[in-house]
Amino acid sequence: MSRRTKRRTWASILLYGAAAAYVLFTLLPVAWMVMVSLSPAGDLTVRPLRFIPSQIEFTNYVKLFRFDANSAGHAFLMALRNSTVVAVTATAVALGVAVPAAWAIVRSRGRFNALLMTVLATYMMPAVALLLPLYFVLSSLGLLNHLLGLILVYCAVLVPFVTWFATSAIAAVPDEIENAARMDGASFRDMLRFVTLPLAKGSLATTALFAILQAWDEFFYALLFTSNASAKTLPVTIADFAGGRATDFGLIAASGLLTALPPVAIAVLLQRSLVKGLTAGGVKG
Amino acid sequence: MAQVSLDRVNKSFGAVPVLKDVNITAADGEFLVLVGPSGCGKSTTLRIVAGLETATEGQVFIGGKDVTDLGPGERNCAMVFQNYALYPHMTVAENIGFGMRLRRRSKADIAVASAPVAELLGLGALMDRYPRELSGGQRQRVAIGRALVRNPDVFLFDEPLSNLDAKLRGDMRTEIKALQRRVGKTTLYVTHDQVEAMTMADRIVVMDRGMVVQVGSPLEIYHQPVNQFVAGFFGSPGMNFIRGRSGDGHFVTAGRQGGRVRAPAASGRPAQSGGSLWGSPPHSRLADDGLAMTVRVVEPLGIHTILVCNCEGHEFKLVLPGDAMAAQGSPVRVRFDPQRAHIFPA
Repeated sequence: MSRRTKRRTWASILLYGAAAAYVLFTLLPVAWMVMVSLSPAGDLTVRPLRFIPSQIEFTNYVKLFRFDANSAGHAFLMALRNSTVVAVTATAVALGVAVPAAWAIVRSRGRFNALLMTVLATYMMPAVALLLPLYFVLSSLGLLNHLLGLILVYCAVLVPFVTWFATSAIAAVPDEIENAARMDGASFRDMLRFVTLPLAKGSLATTALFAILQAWDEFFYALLFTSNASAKTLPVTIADFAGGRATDFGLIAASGLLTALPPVAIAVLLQRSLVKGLTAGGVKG
Repeated sequence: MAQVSLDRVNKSFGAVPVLKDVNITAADGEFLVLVGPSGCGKSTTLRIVAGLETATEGQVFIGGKDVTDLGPGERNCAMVFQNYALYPHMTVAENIGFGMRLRRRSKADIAVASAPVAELLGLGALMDRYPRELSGGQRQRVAIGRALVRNPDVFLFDEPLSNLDAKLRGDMRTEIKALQRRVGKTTLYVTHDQVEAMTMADRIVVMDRGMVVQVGSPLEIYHQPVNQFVAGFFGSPGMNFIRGRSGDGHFVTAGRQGGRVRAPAASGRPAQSGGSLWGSPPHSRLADDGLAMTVRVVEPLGIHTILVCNCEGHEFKLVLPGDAMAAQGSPVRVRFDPQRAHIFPA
């Protein structure tokens, strides 16, 4: 074996080693969660720990989908509804506000950049700094433990971030193409609808995904602004499962996995719509 | 009837003035070319006619109607952009039909209206392609088709050929001019290329630093430039100039080498003291007397030979018959056609 091929062999060993470490590091916890969620309760308390369940059971999942009063299933399904309503509504509202704002910021050639930076600065603040003011506002509006209250808070968090992302999505659309549409007789709304948004679709979809994820996973505000099943979201509910006298690890693992499923599904769907090079060819590249 | 006129149009971006008192009128059916170096305000002028920019002061009329406050979609102008500005997510057919789609015309209607335009521009086979699948020339043709299909009162072209290679540019030049003759619509065409301006225009508007410097037919502008800027901008090779002063019917160069030559009769503005002499390359010839120069480079082109000379540090070009001979480095004397030379004040 020449020195050169030897070096190449070492390089691939290192490369694959690193890749394997990365996969283990990110996927092992998930794999473990799957094992735990499928194990009979007895398996989880024996010593030494059993990684491979003695038998596969779906009881944890069944429990989560049984809508009996005061059961874990009731709490989980209510939370699933709440999380969906809050994340989808907050993201939709944030996009509705942020996209026109981003358009204005981009097309006014920097006149509002300072404003954008100021708004972004609020996004950099730690959540705990905003906690008390938000609490008082929600309380005086009677929106504590209310989905609308949570939606409002999430909008406030998401709008700056979504605006920021949307500016780069819109800046990638050449303004000559928009001008061409205006010359073709498009109103502002038509121009956005038929030209700008379809061209920015890919990046805006990614932005929407991040926004949904952020709202879906948010724990801190949800924990403090909601108090019962009518408004609690999934992260809070899962935390509740851990809060009883006896912690049901199997149930926690199952609900955690189920909670992760919708965002993963959305990401897979969006992946398809993220067609690359959509703007290629419209203007001289 | 669609006469286009700009009446005392001023435009500033913030505190920076870009157009100063621009008055331009294009007659119905006229091919008017706005030409000037980059930053002279020609594109801004076009965009003000289009409605994409608003004039800070002044008015714009199309067909006698004040359109100053109308949006770009309400002026019935069509524009062809430098970068084509096609809709990349739409096919050629959809690009051409977009304006009609906005006006809620039926699909069948759009197809019927697009067909003759596609035919005229040779786009028939490309209708289902996307812009990214087309060559530069084809894209520009689609952009022209999109403008043509709307049957506008006025065509606006913003440097439409500057992204094409030289050969294609020449072809498209001819094609656009023939097309304009055929449809007979008033056309405003912006370019920084004097060859495009000369070959395509009925009349040329020369702009410099936000102002209209001269308006006239290509030959008027070429033969009777109003100032040094215009004289220097047109012709290929461009006008020659030499510094000096004039008096008693003669022009004397500033340095020692050049010498004396009879002052041109055509010069409408004789300078008493300082000034410069401008002579066009094809109307200068070798003679026994005249300005003394040194041949620096000989460029034989077949039809003619270009002689690049040096006169007191100025480059001076002559266009001579193809069989003319001159040795590099040799001294020559050059005489001007007094009808085709100018003296401008310094």
